[in-house]
Amino acid sequence: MIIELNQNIMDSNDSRAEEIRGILAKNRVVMINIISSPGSGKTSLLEQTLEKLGAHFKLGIIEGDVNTNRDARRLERFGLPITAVNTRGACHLNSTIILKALGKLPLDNLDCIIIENVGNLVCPSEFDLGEHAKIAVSSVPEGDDKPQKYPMLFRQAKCLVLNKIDLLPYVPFDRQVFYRDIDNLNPKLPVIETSCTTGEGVDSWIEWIKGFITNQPRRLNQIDEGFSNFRRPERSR
Amino acid sequence: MHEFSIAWNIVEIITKAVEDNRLIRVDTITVEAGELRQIVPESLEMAFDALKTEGDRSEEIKNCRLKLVIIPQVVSCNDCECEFYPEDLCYLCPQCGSINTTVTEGEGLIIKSIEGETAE
Repeated sequence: MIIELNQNIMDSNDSRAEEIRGILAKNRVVMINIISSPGSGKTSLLEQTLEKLGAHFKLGIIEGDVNTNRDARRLERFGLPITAVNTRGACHLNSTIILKALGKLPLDNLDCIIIENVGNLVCPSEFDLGEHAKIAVSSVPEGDDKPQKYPMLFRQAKCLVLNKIDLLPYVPFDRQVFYRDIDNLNPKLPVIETSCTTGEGVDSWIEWIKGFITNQPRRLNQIDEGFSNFRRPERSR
Repeated sequence: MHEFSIAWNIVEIITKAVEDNRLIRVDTITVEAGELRQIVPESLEMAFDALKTEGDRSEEIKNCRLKLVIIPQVVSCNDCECEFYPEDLCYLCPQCGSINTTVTEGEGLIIKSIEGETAE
């Protein structure tokens, strides 16, 4: 006999993500999930972000790592609430891990939690963590073909940071190709070019995230309304 | 390798379905995965085969075969209402050029059905 199930395979993850959304709404906390491949500069971007955003909002961090707590240790100097989570080899964070991590953060005293996901462009985009926004970070040395190769993340992201632009003169990266593919995939996606080494463009990123946090309705049932009036910065250099 | 987590969820769901429907044997399960989910069929199959035969898994599912159907994307234009396939991953409406489009198919990930024998 054939039994029709029609059951969402991600149900268990998604229902916990829903629970997380409820907890965040109750505590009026905005949660951001930063996703990129390994080595594109997530932790460096986070360092810049904590330094510059810390004056405006009360921040907490969930630092995902496959192994070790090196990234979490790098961020300790900011003196902010930080929870390090190890996936023990798994290539993504899931909502169970995040739910547990939230329990270790002082939610009633935070405005925004930033999750640094495990370095990977495929798997983290499969897992709803209950976040308000996924932020994609791509970097110049990775090449201009990443949007075409990993469309799901670039479709889901609410903002894309193109990092390491100081390396543009040294590596083959066709900006036109990159932007053409982004415009085809997700024409509304704001792209912010940064270099965490020279500091270039970081202020534009800080402005975006400030706007996002400020404009995010932090009440339950309004949570999906996003921030959409950000204008993409000028591209030509 | 998100296929491993996905296979884990699949095994959990069919184990429960076996109990709920009092199945004595599961032959095939059909999984529908949207094209955008980027599932590697071989990886999913390998992970599923490893997990379904794990020590304490129920006997009923140990010979179950996973049938994976990839669902192609369908995008619909919210302005001119035409439906299209996003060639070269272009989600702009090919008819009116609108950026206001929605993926209506090709993002899901579901267990469609389960085929097996009941006790009666």
